Amino acid sequence: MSRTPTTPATTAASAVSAATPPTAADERDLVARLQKGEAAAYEQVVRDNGPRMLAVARRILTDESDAQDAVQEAFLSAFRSIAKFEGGSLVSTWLHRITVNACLMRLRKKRRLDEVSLDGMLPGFSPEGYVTKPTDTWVDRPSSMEQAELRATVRAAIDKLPEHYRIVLILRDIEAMDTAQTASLLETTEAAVKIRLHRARQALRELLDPSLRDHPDSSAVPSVRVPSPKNQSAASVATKNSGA
Amino acid sequence: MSRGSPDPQPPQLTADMLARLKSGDKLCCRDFSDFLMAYLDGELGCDVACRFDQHLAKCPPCKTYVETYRATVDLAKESCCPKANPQLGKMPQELVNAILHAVTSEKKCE
Ligand SMILES: [Zn+2]
Repeated sequence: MSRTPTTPATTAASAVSAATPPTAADERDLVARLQKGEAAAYEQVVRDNGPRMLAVARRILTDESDAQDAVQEAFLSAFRSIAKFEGGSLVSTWLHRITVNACLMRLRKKRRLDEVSLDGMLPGFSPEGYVTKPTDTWVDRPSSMEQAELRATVRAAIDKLPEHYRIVLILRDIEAMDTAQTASLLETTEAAVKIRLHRARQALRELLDPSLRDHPDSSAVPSVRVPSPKNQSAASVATKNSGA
Repeated sequence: MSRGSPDPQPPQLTADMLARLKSGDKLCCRDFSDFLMAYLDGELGCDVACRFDQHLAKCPPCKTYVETYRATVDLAKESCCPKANPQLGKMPQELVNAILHAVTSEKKCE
């Protein structure tokens, strides 16, 4: 199917919205057009917000067809309730939240949020509570080509976190939602969100440590790469922490 | 999402740690690790934060731990930002069409 032509006005609006936040007047106008059911307004919202929403869904769901379905559900659910939109937040912020919700509903259906174990992914201490082995510093950030490899390694390590923790890290550190928003989306307490975020960061640090330490020891994984099978990585971290 | 699933090994409550520190207990590396995020977010009172500062100055492993913990957060943010992954926000035209089609059909049914 050929690309639907956009009017010059729509194109200009997209360009502006990508670069600078829309003014309050732009937003009121857009919402009014959506509430009237203007097809061009729907299209503008999909084109302006779709890519960001899809990026969020891909980060949360990892599976491409799930991510696309979640974005479609999010738009339909948003447009169904547009009559109730009161302008307390920007349309883009409102859509972001609806997208996260659509993604979480999919995760819940698959019961992926039920996993809780971080065994072997947390730092180890002596019975008195002291560090049992030297903590190594990390190599300086690699440049150019290695940068892409490092980022891929970090993303792979994030995907290894148990879902229960991965989702909090994504919402708080990557989607930049605050603790209260995250707690409300996940139907839990702010204290639980804080604990999970800290644990998720600690576990991610443990997963990245073998690849990034300045003086890789014999148990470390060579080069900038996290071992691929989940059990293997958890086991290697567990071995490192066996002093706990 | 909690659904009765307990968080494994939740750090002792801040109140418990405060009580232990007040009773003369030394701040150990495990305390430092458990409450690191609260420390970095400035959520510990001045007295306790001061004890954390002192531990940090005397404990090289914890100093390195803080550096690598911070680096972890930075790396996670950087690695997942759209700039680092131009592919992440690429929206297939078919999806745009499918969404607009679904919206139109739904409105027709109303
Ligand atoms: Zn220490």
